[in-house]
Amino acid sequence: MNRKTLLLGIVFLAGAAMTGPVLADYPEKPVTLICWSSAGSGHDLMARMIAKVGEKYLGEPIVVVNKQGGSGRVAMSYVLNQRPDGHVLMTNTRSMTLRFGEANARFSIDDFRYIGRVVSDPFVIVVNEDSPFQTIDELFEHVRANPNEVTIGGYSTKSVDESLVEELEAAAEIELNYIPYRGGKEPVVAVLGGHIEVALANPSEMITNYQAGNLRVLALASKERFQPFQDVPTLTEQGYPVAPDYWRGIMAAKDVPDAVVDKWSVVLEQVVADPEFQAFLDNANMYDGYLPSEAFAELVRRQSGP
Amino acid sequence: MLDNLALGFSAIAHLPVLAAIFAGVLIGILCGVLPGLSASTAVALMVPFTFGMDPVVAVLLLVSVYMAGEYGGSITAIAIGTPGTPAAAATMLDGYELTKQGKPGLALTTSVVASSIGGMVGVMALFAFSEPLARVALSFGAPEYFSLAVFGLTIIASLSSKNLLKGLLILFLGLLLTTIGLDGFTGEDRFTFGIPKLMDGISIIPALIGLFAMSSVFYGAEDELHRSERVSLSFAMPRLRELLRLWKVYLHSSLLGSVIGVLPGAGATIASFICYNEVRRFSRNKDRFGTGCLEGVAAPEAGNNAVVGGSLVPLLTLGIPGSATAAVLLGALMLHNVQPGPLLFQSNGEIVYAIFAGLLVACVAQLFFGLIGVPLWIKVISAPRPLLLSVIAVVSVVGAYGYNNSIVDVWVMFGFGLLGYTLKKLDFPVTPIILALVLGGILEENLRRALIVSGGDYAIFVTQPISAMLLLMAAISLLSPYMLNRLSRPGPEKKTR
Repeated sequence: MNRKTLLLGIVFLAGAAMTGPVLADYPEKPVTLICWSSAGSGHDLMARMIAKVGEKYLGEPIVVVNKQGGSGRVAMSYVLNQRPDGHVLMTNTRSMTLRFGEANARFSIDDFRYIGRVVSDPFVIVVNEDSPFQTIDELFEHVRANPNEVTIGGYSTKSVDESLVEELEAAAEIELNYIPYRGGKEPVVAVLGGHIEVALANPSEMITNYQAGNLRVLALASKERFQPFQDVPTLTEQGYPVAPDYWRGIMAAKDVPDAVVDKWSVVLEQVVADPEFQAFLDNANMYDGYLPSEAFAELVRRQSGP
Repeated sequence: MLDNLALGFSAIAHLPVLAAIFAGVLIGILCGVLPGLSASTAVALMVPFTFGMDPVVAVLLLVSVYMAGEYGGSITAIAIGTPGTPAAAATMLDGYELTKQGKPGLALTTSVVASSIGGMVGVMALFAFSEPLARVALSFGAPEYFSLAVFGLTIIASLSSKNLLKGLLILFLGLLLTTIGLDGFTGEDRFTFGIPKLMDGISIIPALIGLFAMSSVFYGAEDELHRSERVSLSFAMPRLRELLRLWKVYLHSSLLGSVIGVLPGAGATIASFICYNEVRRFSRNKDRFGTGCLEGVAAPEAGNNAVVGGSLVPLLTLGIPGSATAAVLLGALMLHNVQPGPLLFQSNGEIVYAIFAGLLVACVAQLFFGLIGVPLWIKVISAPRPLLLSVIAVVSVVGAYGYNNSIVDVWVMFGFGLLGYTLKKLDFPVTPIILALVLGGILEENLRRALIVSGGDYAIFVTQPISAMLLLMAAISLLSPYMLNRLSRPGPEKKTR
């Protein structure tokens, strides 16, 4: 290495050091929103809609980049390896934070700052229109007589779906045969084709087949009834207090300055309230679940606790 | 029914819509050509650009990209022996042989003709038989998918007719590689060595780029050092009569491709291989497959483009995506306030018919651009070898990284490049790995799911009629070459006695 390149190197390093932690007027450049799901998924669409609507409130473009893999762990390690100046944020979901509680978890809940929850999808319990079960009680009665026989499909293993089934089994003192699937729609397809008996789904995954009269909703796994299932009782009403939800939100690395979190809290609230974003939620059958930063952090803490 | 088609054509007879279709076809062909940009990635990349568009324009742009992307993959497969999309791996078997013989024009032209015909037949199947085909999609549960995967694996017999043992060895190596990643049922890490990216297993695209593109760079570089003679490429095109003679292949593969496309989770790659295998099975000159015959190019290409129409059947009629690309389309449709599902034909009928009409136009546009492109591609591959190889190397690295913005995929690509190089040196077939990577996950996942459903009873695979039939076909497929050998052997033996 000659002197010239050495000198150049020093100048570069000094330059890099100076642009470091000094926070000018955030945001000073486009913000990257890392999405841990594949391009085109419901989760990705939400991220891209936040990016599109958020641009006018943030004042800088927001670029969505997909980093798939390891149920969000690839995205998490990427975000934690970036300079925490608030120009790299990521989307998160209930299933991701659920794993913080696992014994050999790579990341902990304190590695991140929680900016806000955006969407909160409730679950419904569905059967084929041809199914003999008209109510959730009829189903449970049959399950009690035939433990471990009735198949119930849901998304993935160690997921919100599986924990819903476990909670339900405990609350109703029944034993079901849980079948994990790779995608949220697959259990609904299996019920439509008569391959399994019951499916768990978010409304967006079953609404069209419900409207066409191919599916029957036995119960809503929520505290209160919601549209368009006003006539269907909730599990809570039936005496089984099981009401999980599948939420999606935004988080950042833990060392991000307070100013960034404050700015984004305002932006995110404006985004969710924007008519364009509300129209998107309507079209996609997702449910507005906006929670500000502190309430969101508190929720994550509660849900991933022991 | 014809009224509806007329409605569709009137919906697309506007300049912006036609422009979107033509642009979509061009973008699709180019994305298909680039290894690393498969049809589904190409469509996903286009979705944000459609945000502000009219729904019909947006949807037609996307489906045109999808259609042409499935075709574009074959260009790279034929021209440089690297499938641009996974589905083109089957096209490469005979297509690249023709290029090596100096006749890329024959393969490239056959491919675009077969792709366009396949695409049209798929769309017509979608138009005419969407209801019964939707029922086919629902009839496939875990045991059926397992048996379909078993049947798919028996294609190995025709992929490695020279040496079945070598083929099986590579197939099992590939199946072993599919066990890498998180266990879908217990959540356990398997052979991930603590690398988060590997939790999802080996991604097929980087593996494909490594096995074919990178290994050909290694191989070519070595070859270049020895200054071996090269065949000069001719611009010869097949005669119309030769193309027409393949009508049975087009029809057979297009129909098969449409049906396979309907099955959610099967997809274009499986369709290509099954079509290749089936056309070979019923061909009078089986021995010519793998040595550069036009049937071997036409079958997979007609098949994988017919998948496009097929995979839209469950999407439009049930709201269930029939392929990875259809899943992306589902999201895009919802974004434009079109809710695919059983009520779509009533609620948004005009958009459905616009898709039918638009895809037919896209097939014609694809034929047009594809034929114009043939001399162009021959020019490209006539470039000096060192230049071509360096470009392939660069595109391989960029493609592997761009697939999921991950450097781990680049290492996976290089790893598979070395593997591909070693296998070629040792005269082992490479394609069985692709077959295994595509089918391995489906095989394992559905075997286990079926057994959970049945409570551990293996009888479920033979008591379900579709599953039993597929297993029987698998057995016939694997054993028939031996039976036929046995039957035909006594003849010549008698003569020698």
